[in-house]
Amino acid sequence: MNASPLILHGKGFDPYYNLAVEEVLASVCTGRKGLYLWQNDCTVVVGRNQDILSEVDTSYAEAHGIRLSRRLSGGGAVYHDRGNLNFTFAGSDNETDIIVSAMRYLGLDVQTTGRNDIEIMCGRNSAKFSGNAYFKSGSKAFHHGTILINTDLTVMERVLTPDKAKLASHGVASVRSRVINLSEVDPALTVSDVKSAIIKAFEDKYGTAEPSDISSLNAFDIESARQRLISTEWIYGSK
Amino acid sequence: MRERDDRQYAKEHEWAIFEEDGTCRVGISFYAQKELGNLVFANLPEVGDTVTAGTPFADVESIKTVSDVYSPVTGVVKEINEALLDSPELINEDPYGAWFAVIEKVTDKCNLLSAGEYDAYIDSLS
Repeated sequence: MNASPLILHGKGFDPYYNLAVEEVLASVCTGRKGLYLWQNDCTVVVGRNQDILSEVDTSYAEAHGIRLSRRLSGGGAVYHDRGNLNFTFAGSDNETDIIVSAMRYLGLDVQTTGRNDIEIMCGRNSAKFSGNAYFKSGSKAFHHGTILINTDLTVMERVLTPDKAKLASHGVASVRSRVINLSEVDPALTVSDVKSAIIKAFEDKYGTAEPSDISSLNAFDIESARQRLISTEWIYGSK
Repeated sequence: MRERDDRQYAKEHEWAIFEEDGTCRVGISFYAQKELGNLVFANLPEVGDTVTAGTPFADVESIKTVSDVYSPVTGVVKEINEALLDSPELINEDPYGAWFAVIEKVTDKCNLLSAGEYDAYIDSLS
């Protein structure tokens, strides 16, 4: 089967809806490549097997209207706001090379690390601007990640508590990373520039996508995934 | 590496041993743990949970990915290997010994492959 690749753009900034869309997209992208570009309002997303209470300052989150969510993929806790762009490659195990190519189109020299991060040089040091995670279930798979463009790093620093998480007895603890916004390297860069570059790199690799949008996915499936993802049972888990 | 021929395999990369008492012991294949890389977490069902053949019943997290683990049979979880909760690395060290769960009251099973058939299936994936 050689169906043309699918590109979807986020509709709204609801983290549970967005996580549901990527899950449903992955289930229709077996034997096909899909790309989903999306953004959340202020949200913490923890990894599948993390202890959310040790990863997040939940009282700070509540006081500042930061939503808490849990994703299907592994790895550490991340903070999203509208200065951050998320991408999901559905039907793929790992598409890090597409993000690296996209950054090169933007004139940014980046490199991958052993820890599923992508880094950029700033002065004499490198810092992480993109965290990546992966999920596989039978023939379904996706690779997704974050790109910091102009996120409020002060809030990120305040709401995530990786040092406390290391002491937790169960679950996967986050690793604190030196992070950077791409706007610090290129002040003119916008979320829209980064989106266009990722689409170009994706289409270079897989061919031109046919025009599509989220309404092509089954709305009932999205809603039932969203209900599961927003449930207290899923978010707080029992880890 | 060829898989051990004292058990059967599912295409989702689990192994199954049917015991004489009618229960089924389940784990993941050597190939599966090697593809996943170093495991850092194993999420197991609870004793008494109902599992369904061909649907996820556990998941494992490695330094690379989270991967669902599928049940090869339909039944009820009789025992889980609690050692994996504290030491998921046991799955990398000895995937054939590091069983995930024992399923009882088995009423259905997936199409399972012999070790030879599973080896051939793995070869077809690369």
